[in-house]
Amino acid sequence: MPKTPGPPHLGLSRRSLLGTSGAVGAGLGLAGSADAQQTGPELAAFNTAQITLNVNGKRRTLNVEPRTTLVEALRDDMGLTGTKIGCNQGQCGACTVLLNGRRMNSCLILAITADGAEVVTIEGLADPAGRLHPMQEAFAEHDAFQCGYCTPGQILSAIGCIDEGHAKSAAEIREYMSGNLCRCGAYPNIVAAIESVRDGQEG
Amino acid sequence: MRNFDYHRPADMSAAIDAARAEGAEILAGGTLMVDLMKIGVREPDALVDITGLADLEGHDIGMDRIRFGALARMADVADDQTLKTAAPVLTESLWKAASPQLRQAARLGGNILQQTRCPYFRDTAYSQCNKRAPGSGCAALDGGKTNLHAILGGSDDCVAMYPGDWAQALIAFDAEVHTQGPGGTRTISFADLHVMPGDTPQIETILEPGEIVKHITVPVIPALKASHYLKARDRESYAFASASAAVGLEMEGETVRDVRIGLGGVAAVPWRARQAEEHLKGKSLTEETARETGRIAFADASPLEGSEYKIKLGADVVAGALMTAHARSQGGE
Amino acid sequence: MAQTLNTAVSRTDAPRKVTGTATYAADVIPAGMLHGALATSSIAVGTLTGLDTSAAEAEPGVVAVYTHENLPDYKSVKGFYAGGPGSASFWPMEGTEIKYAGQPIAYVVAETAAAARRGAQLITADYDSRPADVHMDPADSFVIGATGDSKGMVATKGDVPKGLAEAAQTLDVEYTTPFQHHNPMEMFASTAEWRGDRLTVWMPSQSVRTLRLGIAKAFGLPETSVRVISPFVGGAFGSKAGITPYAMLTIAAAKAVGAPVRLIVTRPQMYTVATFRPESVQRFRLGADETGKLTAFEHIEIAQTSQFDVVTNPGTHITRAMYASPNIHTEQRVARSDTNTGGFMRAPNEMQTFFGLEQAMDELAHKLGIDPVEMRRVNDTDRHPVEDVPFSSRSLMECYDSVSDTFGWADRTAEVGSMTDGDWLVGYGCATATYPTNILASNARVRMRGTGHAYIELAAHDVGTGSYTIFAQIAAARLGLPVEACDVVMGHGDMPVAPLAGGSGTAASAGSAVHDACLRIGRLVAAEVSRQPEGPLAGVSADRITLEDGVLRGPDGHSQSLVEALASTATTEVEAVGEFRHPALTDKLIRATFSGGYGTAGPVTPECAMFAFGAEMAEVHINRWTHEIRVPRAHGAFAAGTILNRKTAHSQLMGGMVWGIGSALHEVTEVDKPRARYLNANIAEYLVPVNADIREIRVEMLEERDDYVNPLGVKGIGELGIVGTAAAIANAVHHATGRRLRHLPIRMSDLV
Repeated sequence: MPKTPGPPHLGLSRRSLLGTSGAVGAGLGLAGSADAQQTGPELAAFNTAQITLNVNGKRRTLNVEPRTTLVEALRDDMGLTGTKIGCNQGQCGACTVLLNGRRMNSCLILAITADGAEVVTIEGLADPAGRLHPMQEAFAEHDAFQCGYCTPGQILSAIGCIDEGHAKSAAEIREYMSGNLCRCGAYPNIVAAIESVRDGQEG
Repeated sequence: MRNFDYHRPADMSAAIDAARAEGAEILAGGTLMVDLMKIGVREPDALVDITGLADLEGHDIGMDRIRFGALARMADVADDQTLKTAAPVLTESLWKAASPQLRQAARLGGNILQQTRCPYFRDTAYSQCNKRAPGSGCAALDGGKTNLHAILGGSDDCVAMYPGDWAQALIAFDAEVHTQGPGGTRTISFADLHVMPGDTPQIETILEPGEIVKHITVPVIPALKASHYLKARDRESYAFASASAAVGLEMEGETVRDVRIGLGGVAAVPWRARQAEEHLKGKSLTEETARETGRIAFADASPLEGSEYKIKLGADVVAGALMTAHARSQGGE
Repeated sequence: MAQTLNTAVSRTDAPRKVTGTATYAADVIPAGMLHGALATSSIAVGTLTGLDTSAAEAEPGVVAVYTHENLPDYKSVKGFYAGGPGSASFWPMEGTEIKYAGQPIAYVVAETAAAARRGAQLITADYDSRPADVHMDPADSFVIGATGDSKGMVATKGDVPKGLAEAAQTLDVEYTTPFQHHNPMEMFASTAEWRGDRLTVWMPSQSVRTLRLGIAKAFGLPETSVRVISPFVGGAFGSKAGITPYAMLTIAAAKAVGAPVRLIVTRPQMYTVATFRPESVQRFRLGADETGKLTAFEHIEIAQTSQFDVVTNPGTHITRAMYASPNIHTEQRVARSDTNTGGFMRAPNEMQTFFGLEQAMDELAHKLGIDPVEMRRVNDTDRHPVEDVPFSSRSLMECYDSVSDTFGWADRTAEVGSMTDGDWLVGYGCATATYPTNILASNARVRMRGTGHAYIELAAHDVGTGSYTIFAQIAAARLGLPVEACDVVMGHGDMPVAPLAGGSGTAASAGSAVHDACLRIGRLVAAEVSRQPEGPLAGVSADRITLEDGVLRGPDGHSQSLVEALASTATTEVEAVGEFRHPALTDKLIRATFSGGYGTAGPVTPECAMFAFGAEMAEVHINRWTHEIRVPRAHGAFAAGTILNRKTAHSQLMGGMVWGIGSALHEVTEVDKPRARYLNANIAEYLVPVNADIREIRVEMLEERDDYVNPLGVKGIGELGIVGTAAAIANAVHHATGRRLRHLPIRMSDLV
């Protein structure tokens, strides 16, 4: 029988909803913590764990469930909605961020595994004075998007592509940007934008 | 995703202890595990994150063997220029897999253990899947056509295809897998790692609970240098193989002295075409012998409706891969 | 034409899109928001006999579970094809009936998205299942609303059998096209917030007007109590036009739970909770004389539809406008099967039908030994072949001449299999593209200040099409302002009515309303300055003052810039609502658009046939070992009236051609026919082109003037690019291999 809807538990913290038994952290061996050898998981003891991320140069501490993905932590817990979810299955690249300098699909990264990591999202690319990153400028100049939804992921991936040394030719850029789907079909303009940044001639 | 308990052990023995527990699974790059957990195909009670085990990182190229740590990243290994020259098949089968972002996250130990893309396995709305729910049946056998089913090594209980690329190079070149588990360390021939589906398709490898892949080694043989991974797919990148071949050649003058052939996109497990290899040894490598070798590789194929084309496609891919390997053996590309 | 039009202007919304500050629907997080998730049916047809929600309710974080038994009632609305605002006429969770696989059966609300999705996974259902049928059977097809009228679904001119009998060569062939799903990058999302009886819905939409009216009706609210907000849309392509079950359920759940709720539909669920491109069969019988001139033209399209709607996307309306023939017969048929209702997906009438038509023309040309371009030339016409009215403009052969030149068509050797490049077989193919010009009523409000700023408001949409930018350009050109001084605000349901963003009609229709508002501003300011005691236009009769490119001009050579004139008035600010009402728009059509429907005049009016045209050429390479099919080059030349922005227009046409490549080689929704369930409902196995698939795309936009379609002379380009691509590629595959592949997609499995 369906439950009769009651008032939402808006006044309750997540811990009080989820932490039905056991202490916080029971059965939860966190990165670098002293009880890393903890074994024998207590199934009833799911709870949130505190993690610290360096996001766009700022230290952020937050509580996450083990199943919380990095993209949901960024968007729902930190309000950094510039990172988009396009499939939530690691198939489209819209959620690409730089994690410790590597481009990754943040929908497949459990936030808890990123404890202590440096994360760069689209919100962290402009310099403190608000000047856009050259890749952002190039995407705008070359019309490297239409709807713009895949764009934050494309831009982060493009930066990764050049950093990895995989932007030596148009063909190589095409191959190494193939993890970012663009349904509007802006691919040739994306390649042009990346080439222009690579050549340092954008503007 | 079902919630779970999370461990990040600092050393191997703690990792083994945590991983051997009932319901525990090992987590490394997570590109496979997190995906399968999201869609409800895998629901572990606990994840044991082994990325803190620094000994499992990296790779090195020795005179006699190449060693890959289980935690080495696909992207890092694929970009190794020395390896690219020494053993092109081992880098090509990495960079032609997945996407750049997935290759940054995914680790080699997980890569070899990836699971099928069979839609009936991945869509939990199907109650019939012997691999996911042993004894429930196989919806693929009377289902709609897809090109995701094995034409080699399938059984009456399961026709799921092993989707990986790198494993085809490993099996072709006699790789070994070095593990540590509750029973100690052991070395497994890569050819023995995966188990044919038979009537127990839920059992995919011989790994025991708590047994962790530490590293993978590939012996250095002449055929590695003149090797190639050819992958046929309906789009240019970021697609699973419709058919692929990991091949290597050692020539003695005009004669094939050694040949290695692994087949991707077509079989239930990583597949080595030994009969085809034997056929070609001692012959000269021409388009004709290459095509004949390809046909022999698929002599035992039994496709489902919709996958028949893979017999011809796979044979042609083997032939094409051999032609490139031959050119490489002659110092060309 | 003023400087800001027909130029390349960077998108005005580009800074927001490259910084992640463009807010899409799921980026809005109202205070206290909860998360929704859908549980969907595993069977396709039957009755729900039991639903166990206990495990979901016990899941930590789950707040409520709604089913057909406890969801607040709302009045369901009709589907789009039945004249309503819905994506389909059948609404799930109203009862226990299951009509398609993946139909929503329960709605979980939780504190986190992860808990909601987990809750949905834990719901189990029992069904009384009945056999489902997804075999579209042409024998069971029927004509849509047959009237015999050529404007209807059947058109006949002359005598096709006679024409076939007289032909030097005939062709009788059938082409098939598969189910396809739009797969916009933005996942379907809907956030609903109730404050008392006032409702706000954030949702990506191609028609905020449709949503607002439909939601108000469904929930018994006055229209003014409903706000629909959709400033940015992450791709739509037809998938975000009507009210979908996921939106309605979210609104109902938010009402029941007493908190804002956001639902992000999962990518697999996106395949079943909204529309798609129905599969189709295209039958052609053509006859031609030795010179290639058609003597008979017959096209019967049979498209799939659901059991509860009749999808009406009349592709034969378009094919019969293409080529001259004395004998013509076309029929528009549908056949039912057990799916949700399909809808429109980029070039909904044209992609499939032109895959057929343009391959058929190629086949006939090949039989006759005529160059495929010449085949089109001899059959070109300046009058609509059935309606016998002139085209408002038609530059088809100019397009062929242009693309032949850039592509190097002359280098093509006619013989099949005669061109190679190393291990690759090479083929060249061409095809015609066309798209009807839709004429829809629209309003737009423009406010201008003497400081030199303008504010443009209308309930139109920028689904990536560049509307923000072109409306700013139109206003800038007319008012004499820089583009960046013109702020465009769109995507709210309570703004001046603009049509649904579909049918490539926004620039033509809403753009014309912006244009009209600017002219009205000119008249208002002219009236003011003519009354003033001093100034360049003081005392000049207002009706003799014209606005040209931002300058008010009197009859005697006196002039004043509009900005200066406005600044000199007492208010220094003026506002006008512009209207676009083409003479061909009847009251019925205007009413349709204003009530959230799609009231298009045309493409054929009593005076004219209105179409944009293009010609596309593709080079195909087929690997002799892997049989992989790649497209290293695709060129298109298009004539679509005025091009407002050469940068964004180029992107749209290029994107259309990328879609065409996808349709040709990649896209297909695979169906498990025994169980009527989609097998590749994700974006890994449903292949769309990746960056590496797209190499050289060349787009030429020809100058073309059309004074009939609308004051701007715009014919629309959003869909034109896709129309000829698949056929051009199929024709190139034939040229390379001799294989005629009459189905989509064309895969290496077809060529081994």
